[in-house]
Amino acid sequence: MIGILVAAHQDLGQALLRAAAGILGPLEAAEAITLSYEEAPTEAQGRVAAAVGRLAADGEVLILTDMFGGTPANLCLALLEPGRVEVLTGVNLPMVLKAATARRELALPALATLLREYGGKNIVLASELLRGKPPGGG
Amino acid sequence: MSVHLVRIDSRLVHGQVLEAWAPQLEVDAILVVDGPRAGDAFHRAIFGALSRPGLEVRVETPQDAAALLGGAWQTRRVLVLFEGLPQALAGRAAGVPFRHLNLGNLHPRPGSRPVTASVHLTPEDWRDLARLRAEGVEVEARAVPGDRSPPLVAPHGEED
Repeated sequence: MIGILVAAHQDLGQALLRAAAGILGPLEAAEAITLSYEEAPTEAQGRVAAAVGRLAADGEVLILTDMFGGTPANLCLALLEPGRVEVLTGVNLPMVLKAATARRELALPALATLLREYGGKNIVLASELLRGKPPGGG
Repeated sequence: MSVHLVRIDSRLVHGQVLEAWAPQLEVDAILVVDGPRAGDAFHRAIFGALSRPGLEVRVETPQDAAALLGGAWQTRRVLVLFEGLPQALAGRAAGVPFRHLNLGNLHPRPGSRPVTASVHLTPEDWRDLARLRAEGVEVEARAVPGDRSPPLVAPHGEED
């Protein structure tokens, strides 16, 4: 099974996985990494690499991280192996939920592309709905 | 003068730089001065992709950075980043000018001691700082703009 690693600032990743588990039930092959400013980047890099290694024992790995340009994303980019370890930024709860279900049917590159679109489409400015605009700014 | 902040940050471009310093200083460019990364297509692409409307992000060698700051970017508002003090000294030698140096994040290394929660200095760092100070550079340690820098006094025997 494709493993999911949520790597984010502070305990945001744990919180997203807890929230997802509250909706879907316990998630298999899913881990979160807490990254704080107190930890040396080399140590944090080691923990991220170890988590990817654990998940990769079972298949490909999708790393979901919070902010492109942030330290968690920077650390994860060093582990990118297109097709085997993909890195997707801007993680939100809809993306985690979709990842947990769609990974059963899709290969990693297709899953990552789908989630990029899906994460964006789930960002809706409610007042635009009132003005008759379709969700997702389309 | 186009350079609005020169910062040492072992994380280079990250949240504090993009979301705290860049808006506070109203810079329109971030220049990472780093020879190895400037020569690597992947790193050039990543730093370039961090650019957004009103903010350009680039990585250049010390020589190219000096040429850019003295030429095409003379009228830009620039935040300059170095990964460590050796890189800052190399940048200065290549012609990247600065009179003020911000220490943002210098992660713990063997032999280092903390001066703030995020800045850890080795004896070699103290010697580099002494050299810069002797050349008239003011040094302060702040991770984000709202921090207050402690006085940076070398532990006994670590400053020439």
